[in-house]
Amino acid sequence: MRHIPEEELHAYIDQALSRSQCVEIESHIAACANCRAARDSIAALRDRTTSLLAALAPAPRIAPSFQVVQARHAAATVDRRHRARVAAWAASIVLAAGVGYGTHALLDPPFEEHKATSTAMLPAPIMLTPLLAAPAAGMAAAAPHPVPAPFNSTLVSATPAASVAASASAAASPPAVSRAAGKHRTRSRAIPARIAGQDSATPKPRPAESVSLLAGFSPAEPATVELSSLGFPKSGADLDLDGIWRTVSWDNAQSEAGEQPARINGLPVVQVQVQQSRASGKPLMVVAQQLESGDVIRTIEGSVADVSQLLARRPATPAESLGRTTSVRRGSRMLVITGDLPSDSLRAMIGRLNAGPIHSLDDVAAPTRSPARSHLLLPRDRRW
Amino acid sequence: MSDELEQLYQTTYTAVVRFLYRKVWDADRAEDLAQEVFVRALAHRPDKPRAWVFAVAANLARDEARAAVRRKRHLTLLKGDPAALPTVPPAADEVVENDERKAAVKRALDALTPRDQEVLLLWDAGLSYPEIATQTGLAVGAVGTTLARARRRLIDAHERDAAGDHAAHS
Repeated sequence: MRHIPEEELHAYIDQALSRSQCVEIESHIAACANCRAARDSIAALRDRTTSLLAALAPAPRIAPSFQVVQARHAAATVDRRHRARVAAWAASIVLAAGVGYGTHALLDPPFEEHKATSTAMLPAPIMLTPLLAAPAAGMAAAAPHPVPAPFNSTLVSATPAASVAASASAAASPPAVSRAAGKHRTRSRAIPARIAGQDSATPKPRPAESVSLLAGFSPAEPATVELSSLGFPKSGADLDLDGIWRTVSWDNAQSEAGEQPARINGLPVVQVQVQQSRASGKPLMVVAQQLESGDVIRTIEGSVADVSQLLARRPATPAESLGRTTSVRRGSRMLVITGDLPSDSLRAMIGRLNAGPIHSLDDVAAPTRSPARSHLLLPRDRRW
Repeated sequence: MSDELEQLYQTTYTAVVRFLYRKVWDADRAEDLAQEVFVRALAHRPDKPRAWVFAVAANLARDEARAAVRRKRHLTLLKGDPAALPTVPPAADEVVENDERKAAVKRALDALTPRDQEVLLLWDAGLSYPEIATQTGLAVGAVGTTLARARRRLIDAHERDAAGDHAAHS
């Protein structure tokens, strides 16, 4: 006769077992004195634990009324909006310099084989996007020069095909942009500085390890949201991202994305941020999740153009990096996992994405409306 | 939704404070952080608020601990040690006894691995096995195993501690 293992008895006592499991256990216990005694001793153990832990409590106090919490929430919201507005102004000056720097790579001739790709990938003309936050201050100090005028004209001539999409001067850019831009007439968007993993003569040489699309792994099963836990990311983590981001609740994120936001199964979600996409309809979404260790992992999902732009951003200091990154393509959408983890851990996480069927390299190569296949950059094994 | 959150607040606030207290060892801090947790719940409107709340609480407590270490305020944590803190001013010998008991249990808890501690405290805060599993990344089946071990170790450590005490005083 098999006796009931200890952990099962604990689960039973804790009422964590199914009805049928309980019935099984109870009928066994009725017949088995050993297990009866075991159950009793485990029940006693559990009670003892509870009473010991009860000693570890602060002096009981009456909970403040819920209104206090609501008031605090209201105050925090006002504060946050104000801070974001202030930061946007400071940051737009930075971007003027940043954009110029970022587009240097564009002027370098791409490798032959990827030439078609890089042209096809070029989206609309560059648009200035206000950045968010404190790092901006540092960058502004470091690079106060306005974007050189020549860059503008060169850009236009280098990408005649792309300039067609001139219509894309989309979203409202705050008045600060025109103020800081000075010489800028056009609204522009930073073009991904690197495509296809090559690292030509860019001003700052960086080892780029290209990772081909992860082929052939099984599509992640669409999972229900088991836990949507949101806390605050590690300090400063909020500020890594370019552009204006709204933090949204899980419900809002779902309705904005039209489906569940891409994320890794099984990890608590710490924050969801959303940014309107300039190119396509669906917004750019970043889901931050937290590991046991405390590290924050981000899953970024959006159109290829938007996500590439985000990744191409150069942080002001090493601290504000996106960490290591790995990515995969799904048609015209791109999924990126970033975090301060070894690259292969990040790659493994792709297998745990809830993001629906992931196309293999072959699928993407098949003729579709989306641009021709391209290898995406990442990961980097060095902080930006 | 706000109603739901308010209800959650009424039913779990004390457990959240206690949960936090066992991490930051400062009653005032624990209350403040507990408030903060619910403020964020209002901001984020999570799907599964109960488990969410404890996850956030754990994160806040962890950030707090890291910040304190970074600013070299290690002494703050020690100062918060229940062995040193009278929480109410009762009779003098009552204080000593309470604090000793607290200190003994705290020592026993410290004898557990962080993972075992976390699972034990979450369960004590009222979370279900599935909730604990998601929060800690364990499989649901492993929760029972971990609790079994954690409980045993807590009791054993406490008993050994008590025995040691007696030996020292006899």
